[in-house]
Parts: sequence; structure tokens; C-alpha cells
Amino acid sequence: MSTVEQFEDMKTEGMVVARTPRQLAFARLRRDYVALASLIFIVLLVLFALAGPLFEAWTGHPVNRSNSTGVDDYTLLPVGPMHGCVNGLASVGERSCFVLGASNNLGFDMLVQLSFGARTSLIIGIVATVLTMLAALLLGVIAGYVGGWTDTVIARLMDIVAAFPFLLFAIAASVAFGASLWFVILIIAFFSWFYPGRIFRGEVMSLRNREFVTAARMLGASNSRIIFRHLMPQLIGPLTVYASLSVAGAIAAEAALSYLGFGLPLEIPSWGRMISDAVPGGLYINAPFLMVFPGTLLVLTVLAFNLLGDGLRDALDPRGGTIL
Amino acid sequence: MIRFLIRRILGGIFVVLVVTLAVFVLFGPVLRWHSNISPARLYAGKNPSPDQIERVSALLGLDKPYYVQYGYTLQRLVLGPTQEERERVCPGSSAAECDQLLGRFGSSFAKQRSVDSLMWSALPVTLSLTLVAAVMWLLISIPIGIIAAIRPRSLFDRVSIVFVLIGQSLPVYYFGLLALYFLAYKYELFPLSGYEPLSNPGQWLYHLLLPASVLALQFAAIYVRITRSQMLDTLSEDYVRTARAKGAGETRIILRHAFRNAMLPIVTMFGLDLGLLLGGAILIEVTFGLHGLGWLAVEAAKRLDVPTTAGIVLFSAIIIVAANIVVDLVNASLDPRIRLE
Repeated sequence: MSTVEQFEDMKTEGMVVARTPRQLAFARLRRDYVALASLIFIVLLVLFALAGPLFEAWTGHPVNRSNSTGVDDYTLLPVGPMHGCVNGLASVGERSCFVLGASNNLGFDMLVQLSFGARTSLIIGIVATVLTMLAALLLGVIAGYVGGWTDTVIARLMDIVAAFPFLLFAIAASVAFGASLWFVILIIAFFSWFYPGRIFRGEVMSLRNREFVTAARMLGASNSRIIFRHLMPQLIGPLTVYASLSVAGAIAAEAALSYLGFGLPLEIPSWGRMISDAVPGGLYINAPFLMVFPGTLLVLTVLAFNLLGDGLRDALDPRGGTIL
Repeated sequence: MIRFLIRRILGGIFVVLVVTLAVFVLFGPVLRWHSNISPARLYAGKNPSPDQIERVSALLGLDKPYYVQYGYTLQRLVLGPTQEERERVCPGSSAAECDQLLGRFGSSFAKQRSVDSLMWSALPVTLSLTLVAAVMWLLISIPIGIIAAIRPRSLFDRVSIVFVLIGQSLPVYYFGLLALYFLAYKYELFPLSGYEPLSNPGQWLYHLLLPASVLALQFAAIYVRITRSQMLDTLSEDYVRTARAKGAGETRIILRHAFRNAMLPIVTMFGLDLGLLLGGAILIEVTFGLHGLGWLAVEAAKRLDVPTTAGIVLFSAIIIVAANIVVDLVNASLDPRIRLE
């Protein structure tokens, strides 16, 4: 069926509706079950992270507190899920009852640590992403809009940051700066901005010579008006896509650093460190749940943000399928 | 072409200079003033007297101003240690003995060895791991990527996309631990950790197979994605249609016409990834107990063995820069348009 016929068809059925690109994108997103499932997972994860204090009260095990009841007297292994819960869930709140088991050989409560670890992951993922995107927008837009030697300098800067071995350098820097939450956030942002920055630079470069920009300039619009009113709205698409992917990247980077034992101070719970806690002495061989719980949550979280990013990319693609 | 090469090499040297400066600032002023850790104190052992710290400081050349120290670090990196430093660090030993103690990257705080010799003994491990993994991921990903591109939206294509997403999101160390649990511990198919030198090829491969596969699967995911999208692009080019119209066989079209032209970005990425991994596949080496460069860097950082960590960061940056230049050269030889530019 040709487009014209399709159009005629719709007219007879009275179905022609004008839709803005944003409405189209939302309509496409609503049909993308994978992206929707990811979004739901992320919402649940946020709730799970917020519920940390509730879990502390429910289980009676404060975060980062070692419990002698969390370690099996005989095997000296962290206790497994539902260990010590004599009457099932009804006995939660007694010191001996661990719903998901203990998370390390000090007898931390797995459920509580997982929830506070989710907090850490989300905070680092979001704050690092905000900083990454601000830096990427600022430098990318300036480089693309101004051009000339400013562009050369910024483009070289991007090349240099891209040439740094991230993990190795982050380890070295964490030795020098010491462990802290801000250090982890800043080092991740520092090594992430160049990639979206290149994308924004390319976008702006191709946009700045288009007719609508020339027209705006001819009407006397200032540079800042052109950038904020005419160029920035065009960048919202790539911005949302790369923000979602960047959250996934930042969460994975923090977990990797914590797994190696660098970056976050010990009092901040982290999934990466929970996995690494299962390694010494081959603890995970006898108690695989020690790595499976934090590991699975980590995989699902990173996957969810990656899938959401992919879904957003498809939804915002102007060449994407028509929604009737 | 020569001018292009010279420009690239000069650019590379500049990047290495920036990295040396960054590392120097981190392990000099930042360590000293932000974290209040003095390398001389670390090197002097437990509870040193101020007098001892001063002597160690002079021994390591840390008593000089920072710019002198940095200048000397660069000079040593390029020309090797001076006679004066050799006599200061290893008085009365022969040249060969002193080489074991002091090299272009300085000497380790934690062990009585030069950073160079530590890195030389770790390099074969990293090199073997990277090469075995690279062969595996190319063998896995390119055929999958090509087949997925030939039949887009088929079941195979969809399965390959799921594979890509999981490979990209699965942290390689967690995957490694799962592989160790099931394949090494439960079914005892592979050793739990360790490395065997190449002099015993069977054991060498046996010890590398599991870590290399885990590493390869992660990279394979990215390569499937890029191969597929490149093949989709080239398969819709005019010259492919022309070749079809002239009656070329499907295999010939896919391999000679489409894949050859899709190869350029794959070669580029392959070179850069090799460069990155040769500086140490940190997570895999730590998880599988392979004592390569990445493992060495982590161990050194944990013991505050500053020169060793700094040496590996520098070495890794040099390799990455070199890989970038090689990739540009290979691209230029593959694509006449780049060469003639």
C-alpha cells in the first residue's frame, strides 16, 4: 500500500492525528516492552534502596554491624538465607534470623547491605552521570559551536582522556587521594565525559550551519539564545540516551573499583565489595550466595540501564517505525 | 604519508608526557600534601627515625624540588638511570646486578627489584592472556556478526542481540567467579588459578583457557555488535548490488565485497582494545590469580609501592598510544582514501 493510499485510508476512518516528535517517542517507548520492564525494574530498585532503614528496623540488624549470630559457630561460614529463622518470616526481628543470609564473615545482614549498596550504586550512577553530562555538554557544545583552535584544543583533550587507561589510573589516583565517595564520583565523571562530549560536538557541528540557525542569527539572535533555544533542544534526544548508558557505566565502574578494593571507604556498603568479600579463602565455593545476590543485582541493574538507553535510542530515532 | 606519521608520533609523545605529568603529580604533591603520605617514610621501613627518613629521601632523590624530580624521571625513562644514581642506589655492585635493582622506571619500594624487572616477569602472563583471548573473541564474534547481518530480524539475529546485551552488562569478574565455581570447582574441568609458562604449551593453554574465554566473551559481545552494524551498512551499498547484478556468488559477495569494507572499524577497535589489555587485564588477572601486569599494579597499589604502580600506568599509556599509531597506519594501508588525504 502506498503512503497516499494509507493516508486516504486513515482519513476515511477519521484517524489522522498530528503528533509532536515527543509524543511519537513516548508512543514508541510504551510499545517497547523491554524498555518498559527496565524502567519498572529501576523504579523497584529505587524503592528497594529507599527502604534501607525499614529493612534495618524489620530485621533488627543495623547496616555495617557485625552480628555473631550471622556466622555459623561450627563451619565459621556466613549463615545462609533463612538461617536461624525458626518460625519462618514470623521470627524476623530476632537477632538470629537472617532473611537472605549474612553477607560476609563478620555476619553483616545481606538484605540490609544489599539495600544500602543499591543506594550507593544509584547515588554514584546518578551524580556521576549529571557531572559527566554537564561537562560533556559544556565542552562538546563549545567545541562544536565555536570551532577553530578552541575546537582543536578540546578535541585533543578528549583524545588524551580517551588514551588514559581508566581502571589503572583510577587505582593510582585512589592511592594518592585516599578513599571517599566524592573521589569515586569525580574520577568516574572525569573519565566518562569525553564520549558523550564527542557526540554532542558532532551534533552541534552539523547543526550550526543549518538554515534555522542562520535564520535565527539573521533575525539578530545572540549566541547564547541560539545555543540554548535552538541547539540545546536538539540535543535532548542524545542526552537522555547517553545519560541512561552513563548511569550503567558509572555503576559498573564503581563496582569494579570496589571489587578490587579501591575507591570507597569501608563504611559505605557496595555491591562490588560484597562480591569481593566472597573471594578470600574461596568463601564463595562453600557459600556461593555471597556473590550471587550482589552479583545478580549488579548485572540486572546495569542491564536495565543499558536496555533503557537502547530503548530510548530507538524511540527517539526519527527514522523509527510509524505509530498509528 | 611520512608527514602524517611524524605528526601522529609527536601527538603520541605529547599524550605520554601528559600521562607522566599526571602520574607524577598524583604520586608526588598529591600523595604528600593531600594524603600526608611521604614515599621516603614508606621506604624507610617501620617506625623510622627522622634521620633515617632524611637519608632515604636523599637516596631516592626526593629531597630535590619537584620540577627537578620530574625532569629526572623523564630523563631516566628515555635514557636510563645515570651513573650517579646507580652509585647512590646500588653502590659497589656490578652493572648487571644494578640493572636488577634500578631501571628506567625506578626501583620498587616493596621488593628489592627494579620496576622494569618486575614488569618484565609479569608481561608474558598478560601477553599470553590477551593473545589467547583475542584469537577467541575474533573467532566467535565475526562469524556471528556476519550471519546476524545476513539475516536481520531472524531468530539467530535476535539471540545474538541478547548475547551482546548480556555480554556488555555482565561484570567480567562476577562472570569469572561463576565460571570458576561451576567449571573449575564443581566439574573440575579447569584449574582454579595460576599460570604456567609457555615452555609447557599444554599446561599453558590449560591454565589460560578459562580466564581467556571469560575475557573473550565480554569482548566478543562488542565485536558482534560492531560487525553486525558494519555488515548491515556495507551490504546495502551500491557496489554490493552491482556485484550481485554481475552474477557474483553469495559467499564471494559477503566475504570479498561486504566484509572487506566492513573491516576497517573492526581493525581500529581491535588495535585499541589490544593496547588497552596489554597494559593489564586487571579484573581478570585478579580474579583468576594470574600474576600479570594488572595484578601487579593492584598488589603494588595496595602496598603503596608507588614506583611500581606508576611504572605500570606509564607503560600502559605508552602501549595505548603506540597501538593508536599502529591502528592509524594499518587503516591508511587498508583504505587508500586515508592514505591519499
